[in-house]
Amino acid sequence: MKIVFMIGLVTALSLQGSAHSNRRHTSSAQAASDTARQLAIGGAIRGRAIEVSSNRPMRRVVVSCVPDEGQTIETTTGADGRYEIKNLRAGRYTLRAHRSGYLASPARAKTVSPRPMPIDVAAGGTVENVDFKVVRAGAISGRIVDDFGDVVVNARVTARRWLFTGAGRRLQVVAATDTDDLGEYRLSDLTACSYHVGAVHPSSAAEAIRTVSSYRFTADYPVSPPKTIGRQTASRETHVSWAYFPGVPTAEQAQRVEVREGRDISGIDFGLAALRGPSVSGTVLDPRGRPGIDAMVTLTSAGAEPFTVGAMTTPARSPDGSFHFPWVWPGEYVLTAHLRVGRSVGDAFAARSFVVGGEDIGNLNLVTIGAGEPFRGRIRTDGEPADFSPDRLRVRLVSPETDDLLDRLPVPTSSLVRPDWTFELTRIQGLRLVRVDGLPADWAVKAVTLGKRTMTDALVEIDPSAPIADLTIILTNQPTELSGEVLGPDDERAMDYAVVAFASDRSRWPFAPRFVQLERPNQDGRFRIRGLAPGDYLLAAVEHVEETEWRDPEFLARLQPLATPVTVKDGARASITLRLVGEERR
Amino acid sequence: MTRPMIARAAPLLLCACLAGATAHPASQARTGSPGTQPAEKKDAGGIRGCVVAADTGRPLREVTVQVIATAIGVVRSTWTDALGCYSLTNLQAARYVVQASKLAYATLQFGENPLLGSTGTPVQVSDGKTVPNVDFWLPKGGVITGRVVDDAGEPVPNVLVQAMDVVPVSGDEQPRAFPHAPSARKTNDLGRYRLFGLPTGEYYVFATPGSQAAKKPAEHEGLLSTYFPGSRDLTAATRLLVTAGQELQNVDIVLAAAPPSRK
Repeated sequence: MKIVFMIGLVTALSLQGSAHSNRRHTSSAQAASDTARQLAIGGAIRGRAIEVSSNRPMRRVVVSCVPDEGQTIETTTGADGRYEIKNLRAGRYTLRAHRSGYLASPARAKTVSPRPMPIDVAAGGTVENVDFKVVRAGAISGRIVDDFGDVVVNARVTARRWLFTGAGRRLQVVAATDTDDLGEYRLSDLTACSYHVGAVHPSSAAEAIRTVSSYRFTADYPVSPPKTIGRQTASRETHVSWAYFPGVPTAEQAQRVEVREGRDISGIDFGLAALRGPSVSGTVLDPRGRPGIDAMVTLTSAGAEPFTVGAMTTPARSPDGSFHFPWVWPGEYVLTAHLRVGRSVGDAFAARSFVVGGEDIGNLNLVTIGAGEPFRGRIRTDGEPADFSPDRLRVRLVSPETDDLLDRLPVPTSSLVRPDWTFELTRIQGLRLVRVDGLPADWAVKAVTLGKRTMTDALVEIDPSAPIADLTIILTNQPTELSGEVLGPDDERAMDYAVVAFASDRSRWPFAPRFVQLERPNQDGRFRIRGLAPGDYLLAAVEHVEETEWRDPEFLARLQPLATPVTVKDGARASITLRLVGEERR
Repeated sequence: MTRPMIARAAPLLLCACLAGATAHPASQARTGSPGTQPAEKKDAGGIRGCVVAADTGRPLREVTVQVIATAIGVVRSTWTDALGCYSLTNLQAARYVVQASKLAYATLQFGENPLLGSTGTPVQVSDGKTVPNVDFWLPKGGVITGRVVDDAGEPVPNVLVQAMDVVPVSGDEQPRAFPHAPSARKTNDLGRYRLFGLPTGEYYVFATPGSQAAKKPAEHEGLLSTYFPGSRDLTAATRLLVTAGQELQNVDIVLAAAPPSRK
């Protein structure tokens, strides 16, 4: 690990009153706020993109500006490297710059950092000099051969790195490409990091998985092979080939490839080996817990090797509703089952995700849920009526173990909110967290209740046999807010840092953004953290954080003794000054 | 029995002109898999042979070999083994077109020689007989490589580059071109592309910025689809003759720029 966080105590110089008791909105203030929303659109952000090694302006850099509310605005730098984003409302904007083959970071950032810094635009105001520095990205290239030493054409090559999500530390695919007719590949646009490079034989990827039927092991799949292929399948050797550099079967065993900005790492050549992948098996159950027969089971890779393999649980082959995939590659998967309950296919449905390592996975149970038992709820506010329309909201039921995996599939985990502020979700089961997406910046979830129980940050057990109809989400327009500045070693105001706010109770750490947030300073060096749940927190200002490291419990544990305790009270705004003292490299 | 003998002459010719004098692959077939023929039904025949890479003379594994007898509606396929050999049994008596194909290689019919312009020769399978030595010398498909740059000469990544088949036209008709589907590739971060596996023929090369395949079309703002070497119009584009086994390099495309609008 290249850079570690700060030493020295992060000192709270001032912790001003937390109670912000006067109500922010009266009805006249409400009207004023509405007017402000509509009229204050004269704001602008301007800046330049500079190529670092030549110190010259860079054209064709795409600058995207994400407002706290509303649509992303994109523009491109001209020949002078300049860009301008106009007609902005007052508010907070997140600016990113991108050009293929390069890495762009805010000019005031000390390092190359993909995490953007926010820009606050006042009503009608213009923020100048929001500049970006652009450096050439890293690249990895090499050649892939098979176990005979022949080049592999169209092998899918991927670069993975460790990233942290709410579900834990995972090797995630961050770049993918295919080899050409010389077996050569080039993975580009890489940030400085160590990567695990892997490759999959195209016949494994394209043929074996997408059309299972063309392989000898077809017999093991509970699907009927197409008749045209017939017995010739047996004459072909099975090539289920993959490897990670320098020629090992799992990403964990791979030799890491260190990449730095502007460096081309070449010669990452390796050979694929025919391997037997771990198997995946389990059982489909119908909504009443009986064997799910005639269910269509699909297994979809969530990684960069995009494929889906399917199986049917037929009465003849699997009267117990069981299914078996004889092999898959190690990686992340989503498993779904559509079960014919009545006349139509897909009457009942189930989905779950899991990670396959080197071991066989058995006993995966998929309890399907019929569409007839919806999960219902409604949204209300804690006082002031909402000053926005419900159609911008989505209620999401997040599964803590699968994090965002299911979001990549057409699996219903979220619902639009109706004009009467109610919502309804079907075919969801298991333990879920309730989340609301699309809230305006000055609104937050205050509480989630189920009957008389408060379930705001608790897992709601959704049991299809006992449908829930009385879930209430309460919104507030007084979200908690921590803001302030950070002083550097010479008491000057720091302009480039990251503030990590995390709950004192470490069992809350998986739940960002309610209990863990990372914020970077705006153009004036001030940070603002909004929407933390009330409770006890620790705040630490660090100079550099790896992309997703702040979600890693180990990282937070190391920060813990260095952090400043802060109590966040319901609806309160607090200002705080933190101290940032140098940096230690270990 | 005479037909297979005639058919055999073609691969021998290919052997001589494409790869020089090396051992005929059929000998490997015999030593490599003696007696592997399963017991055949009395009335069924077969085809067997080997495939060799024309450029290296090495046996080619995992070549798809397809036999097609349109008259009786039979399509069968198999793959070559580690020694580059294949065998199809239980074939009804008929005339079969035998075709070998492999990714990045030219697809050839038995007896076909793109250099000599000779077309394929069907293989006659008779009852109870296996036709041996239905062999192939497969050349690599044609390759076109180059770079895509913008009006300032800077490389442009993520541009979709395709080889376009030329459609023959008559009279005053405008020439037309359609993408040769498997050839599409995107330029890499250095603006380079490499199209491979092209059958012998004439192609236009067409670069499409901001295609649906591109993740960030905004990076191609103001750049237009362009034919090699730098024309928006097919009539001003350069047509390239590609031959299997050949590589055309430096097919660099200068993308046309849209006239400046806004800002």
